[in-house]
Amino acid sequence: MSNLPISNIASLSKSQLQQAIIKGLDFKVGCFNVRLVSPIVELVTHLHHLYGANELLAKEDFIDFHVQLSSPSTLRRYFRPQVNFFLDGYAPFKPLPYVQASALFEWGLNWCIASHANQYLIIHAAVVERNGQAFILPGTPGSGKSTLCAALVNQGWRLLSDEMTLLSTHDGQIYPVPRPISLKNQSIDVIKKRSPQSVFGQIVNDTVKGTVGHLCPPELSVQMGEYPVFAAKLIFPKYKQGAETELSTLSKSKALLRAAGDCFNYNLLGVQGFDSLSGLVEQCACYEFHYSNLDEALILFTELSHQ
Amino acid sequence: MTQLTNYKATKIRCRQWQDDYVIYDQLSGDTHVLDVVSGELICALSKQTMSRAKLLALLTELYVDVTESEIESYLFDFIEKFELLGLLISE
Amino acid sequence: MKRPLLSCVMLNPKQVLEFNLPQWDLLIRQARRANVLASLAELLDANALEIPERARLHLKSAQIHADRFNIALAFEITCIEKALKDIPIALVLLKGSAYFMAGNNAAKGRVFSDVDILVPEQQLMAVEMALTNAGWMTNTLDPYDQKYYRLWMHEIPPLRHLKRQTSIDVHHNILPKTTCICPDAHKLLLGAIKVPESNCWVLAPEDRVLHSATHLFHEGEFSQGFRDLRDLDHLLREFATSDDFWPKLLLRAIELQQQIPLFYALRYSHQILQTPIPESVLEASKQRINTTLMDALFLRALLPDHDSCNDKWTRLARSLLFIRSHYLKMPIYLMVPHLLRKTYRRVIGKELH
Repeated sequence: MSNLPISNIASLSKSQLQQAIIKGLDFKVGCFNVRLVSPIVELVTHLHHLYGANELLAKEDFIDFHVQLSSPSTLRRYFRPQVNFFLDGYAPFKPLPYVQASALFEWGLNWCIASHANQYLIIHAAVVERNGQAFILPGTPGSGKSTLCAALVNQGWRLLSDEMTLLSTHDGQIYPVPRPISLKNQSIDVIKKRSPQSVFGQIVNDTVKGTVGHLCPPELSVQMGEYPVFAAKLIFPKYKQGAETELSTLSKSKALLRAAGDCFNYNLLGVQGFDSLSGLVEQCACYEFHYSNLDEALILFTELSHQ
Repeated sequence: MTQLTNYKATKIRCRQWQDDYVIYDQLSGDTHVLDVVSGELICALSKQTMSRAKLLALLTELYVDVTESEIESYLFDFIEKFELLGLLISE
Repeated sequence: MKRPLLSCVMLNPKQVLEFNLPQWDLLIRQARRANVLASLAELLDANALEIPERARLHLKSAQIHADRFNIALAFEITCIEKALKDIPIALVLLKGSAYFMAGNNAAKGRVFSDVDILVPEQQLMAVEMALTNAGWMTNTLDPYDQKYYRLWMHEIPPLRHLKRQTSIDVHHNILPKTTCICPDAHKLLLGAIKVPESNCWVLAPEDRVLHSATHLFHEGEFSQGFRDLRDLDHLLREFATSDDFWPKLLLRAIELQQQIPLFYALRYSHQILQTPIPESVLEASKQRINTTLMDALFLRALLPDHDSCNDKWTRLARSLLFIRSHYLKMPIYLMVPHLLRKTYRRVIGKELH
């Protein structure tokens, strides 16, 4: 049992957690305050396994995202029941099958942050840190960024985010939002095999993204959720079976254009977005990275973190 | 295009790294990567209005070992392309 | 009904100095649901009030959103001007784009996604063709929807620009042809005024108010009702500084047969947002209407669509106003089949609302 401060989710028993979530559980997720209200039992398990290190909020705090998940109270709940995600009463998505509640919670929270945090330029990228250097890994489908991110994190790299890099337009630092790492299909088996001690949440089949599972973030990464860091490397990974491990320098202009395409709100931020992204590619070493062998990838990344 | 036409860039932001220019069009929100010659021209035009003669002179400095007609042809294409992109206006 | 926190702050911004964090939390949430978060941010900035950091970030985020849309709107209007430059019409802007170009207070902190223009009915085809040539395309290919717009409504189906994905609504009137009391669009166009240093025109101040009023009080969906009422409040406060505004407004309402929407506009703007309106004007605008019933409906539907502002009757009130809006737009023999079709399409997922 780790030495967690009293005010974390892990300090609650499962039944206390269930009661709290029914009324409204207030907790920190990186730099955001979240309130979750839900009667869904599977979410209790999800939070219990994957959000243990997250700090509970004191009363009387400002909540950034009031999140609710519930089943529509129609006849549907008796056959092929569904689950809905709400941000303060507004449903941004169509309902999903009930069994996907935990995945919907994660996707919903992604949407909340991506849609309401324009104080950051938000890049669809994993971001990890070692030796005071943040490595940003933008993630187009098939890039393997999530698997790479999970493998790095299991090797002791700090997780800032697996999905959304928050680049502050104010001070140019990357702000953490360490959450369960979303893995799909074979990646789940790859990580389980490499790190059998990894804690996974519920594995959900037949989602729009295939089979999805969430890996528990390291406790230390969650505890360091208040500490931003400057980015040092911007690396565009590309996984291809059988490929040689190859790191090649990318020109700043190409890196900027590619990263802009990977942002959630580059267009919205206008000239501020351009300035922030220009600043990022200026301060980072920019690369393209092809690989198929995770071990070689990890060695190379560790070497890079010393440069 | 007459000899008396002046040109200026619309509202843009320029960044340069070695031989690459990246410009942001503040009106349309488009981002463009340009080669060094186009980049130099458009960034110069973002700072001041320039006549055709001045543009030709600048091009002559940037482009060495090319003929006068090649420079004229380049300028013609440049003006046509950038007016179409909405980055250049003539007055 | 209890006045929402948001309304209280809009009437007296300095109240926020006494707020605790949960009150700030609720204020932000009501403003977000009412789609006036950026507008609230402008108001608090204008009063130079100290804001807790988390709340400030949400306000700032909404302002960034609004600022970007304003830049995009300005650009969009220049593109539309270019597309229509060879057609012999004045480019008359409506609603948000009009407030924006005219520099009305109603435009501050507001997000306007579509552009609305008013053109003479006989120029509709020429305008549609010019816009199509410049890259706009109709989104609506369903023959029924095409018929709905072209035969019955006051606008052609919305056009969307292929590259920019922006929308333009081309109106030939401010109310559908099928409405009992459809104003004379020619009169609106005659009264339009040119925006200085631009090629755009906007409706005269009293017409801008009447258009806002007719739009809101013929509306069926009130998710933006509070925001639209606030627009009206802004317009009335701004235009009331002219001495002859009130008499002009009352006369024009009669001329365009929009006395009822004006009555509602003045009544509810005054009651909900305390718009300063002379008693004599409120009296002169009165109509023979069952105000008890309409108050019960509008005083609920025009509040922010948020749990904290709703009571057990709000949902029913909104549903009744939805039916009312269709009844106003079209006679029963058109309305019933239309509503049945809408309901069917919603069930099979072809309509979002």
